[in-house]
Amino acid sequence: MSHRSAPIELRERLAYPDGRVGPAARELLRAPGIHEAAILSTCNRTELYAAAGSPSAADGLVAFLERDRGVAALDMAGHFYRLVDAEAATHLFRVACGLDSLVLGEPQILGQVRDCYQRAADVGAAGPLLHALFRAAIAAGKRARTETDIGRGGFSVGHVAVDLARSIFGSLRETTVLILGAGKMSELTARHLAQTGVRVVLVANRTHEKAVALASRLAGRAIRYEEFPEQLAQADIVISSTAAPTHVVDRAMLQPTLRRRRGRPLFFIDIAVPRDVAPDVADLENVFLYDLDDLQEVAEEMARDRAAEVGRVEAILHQEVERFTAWRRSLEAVPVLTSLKEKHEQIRRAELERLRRQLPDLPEAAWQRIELATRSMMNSVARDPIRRLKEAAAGGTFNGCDLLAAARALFALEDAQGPDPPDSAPNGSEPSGTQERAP
Amino acid sequence: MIQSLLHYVAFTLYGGAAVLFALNLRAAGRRFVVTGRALVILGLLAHTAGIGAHCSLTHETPFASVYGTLSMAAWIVALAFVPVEVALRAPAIGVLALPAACALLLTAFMNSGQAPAISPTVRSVMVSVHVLSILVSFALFMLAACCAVFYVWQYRLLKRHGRGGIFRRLPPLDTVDRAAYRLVLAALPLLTAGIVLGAFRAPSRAAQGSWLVDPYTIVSLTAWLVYGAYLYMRTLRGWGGTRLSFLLIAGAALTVLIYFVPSQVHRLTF
Repeated sequence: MSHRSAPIELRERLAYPDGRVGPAARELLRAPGIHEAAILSTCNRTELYAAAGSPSAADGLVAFLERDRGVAALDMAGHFYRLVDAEAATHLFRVACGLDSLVLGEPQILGQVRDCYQRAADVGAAGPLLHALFRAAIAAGKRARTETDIGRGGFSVGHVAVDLARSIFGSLRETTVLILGAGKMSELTARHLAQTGVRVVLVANRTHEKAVALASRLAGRAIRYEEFPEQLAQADIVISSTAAPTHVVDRAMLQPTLRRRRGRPLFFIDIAVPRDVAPDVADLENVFLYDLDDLQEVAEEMARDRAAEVGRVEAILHQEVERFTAWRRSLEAVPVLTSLKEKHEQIRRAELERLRRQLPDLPEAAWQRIELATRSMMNSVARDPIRRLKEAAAGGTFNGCDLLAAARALFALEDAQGPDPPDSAPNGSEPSGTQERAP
Repeated sequence: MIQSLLHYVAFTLYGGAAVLFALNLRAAGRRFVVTGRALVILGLLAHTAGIGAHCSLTHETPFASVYGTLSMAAWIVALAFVPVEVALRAPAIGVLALPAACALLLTAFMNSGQAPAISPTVRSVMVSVHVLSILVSFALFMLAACCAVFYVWQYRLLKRHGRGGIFRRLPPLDTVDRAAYRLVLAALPLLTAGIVLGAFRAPSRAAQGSWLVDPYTIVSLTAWLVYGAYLYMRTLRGWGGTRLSFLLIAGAALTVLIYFVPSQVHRLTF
């Protein structure tokens, strides 16, 4: 369930604490018919991903949640979605690309999907199918973010501030941030900037103790409030959020400072209401002033840009889902191919045994040559059918024919029935034999 | 024939790369950038082969004809663009730099019919170094002007509070400002060397007119003064912002004149 299907009260009750995700995934394997499991739990969704022998095993997932989170099935009824095979894969890919997020394209979800997979893998709950599924979903998420603008900023005022600062200064590693006012808003915005690795964070507040406290939280340095006009010459980015009733920065204060800055840009982020920086400061050369409305407007524009990218993300998603589905289908050929090879080998060995009885005086060197020749012959005979069977499995059919069924009938491979990869491979281990490589 | 074909291929590839870089400005797409870069490299290879074929067919340096000189000028612009783009991670610069290379190539095509008897003095190494220094410096000035155009564009977008969203795909202000400064810093000594070498050669060409009032000399000396003034104002006076960017754009416009004005002293023939 997610923010689309369930109210926050229910999501809160079903959310897993960080430390519980891995162990719970492991416990989920005890549910009947479940071979692999992973739990994606964020503030907006709790989703269980499982590889199972049959769709009916999904009932066990509901029962597990009921037991594990202490939520009655009745409370959850109507808030679930149950997706199977390609639909489930497509959903995870959409989640990883940020298309299913509350804020379209938000960046955290890809990391959360990666964590979910890692935790399941760490406890051995993810097997070959979930390994392949999550790796493909993470790859799709990365492609969506590098090949389109779906993840390009503007998710909050803090993000917009960082985007704008980057457009002015490029790398922020050499920049100095000056914070005026030690309020919550300035702290939030400064945190976004601090995460980019700015060089120095200076904090000034009328109550110096508050400045010291905020500076320690941001690994910065507190300065006396009276010193801030002097520090404007060193600062590159100024975040202002004081409770002052009038402007605390104006043209007269800035003009001598700008001469000392020698043409370096100065970026003001004024998130105070009423505003701290006089609007005519924006007319000064190399000064960029953004108030709360400006930032909000940029954020809205970025959101519109991201929404326009959905089509391109869907195209990427479609390609990645196709690739995963083809790999998934190719697994169907595994039992047929294994049986076919075994049958060929049995025939070869039987013929060799018969020949040994007929030619008992043949030297061992000659037998070795015969061994190699027969093996090579069988491989040559099998090469094309095997290739065609793999292609047919990946594509669903071959020229409209069910080649796998045909191969079973032609070669009398009655034992080689449809696949159940999770059954054929132990949890947490790669499958053996003719297993296809994950996409 | 082969030289023309290779030059046309280079022209097309540069043009294609410029279009892809422009598309990347419109809607970010890593494939546009990767393909654009590949086209530039392929264009440079074709262009290099074209210049080689030209020299091999004429048994002259590229500077022995207007066609060869303009082709070399275009080649230097495209070649210099590659490290600048890689260093700045700003494919947007190709939107201006590569059409500039195409324009130079187009001018070269328009002069491809000329095949005059070459004065022996044109074949000297010193003349080649003189022309090459000036061409490289002008190519770098052109790239600096491209950076300046993006500076002005980005500056105005940010002053207008980022309306249009494109500001995120333009190179950052500080990055293009520093790049333009470094390009001028590298180009001015080359221009100085080119002018000094030209001054050494001047007496031998005095019969063909006064070299001091020759348009090439005037353009080169004026460009030297413009870029000298830029460096002075930026480093010693602490100027920054759009004023200096306009100076860079004006300087590049001035250097472009050299490819079009007629000269008595800078003739290739007797």
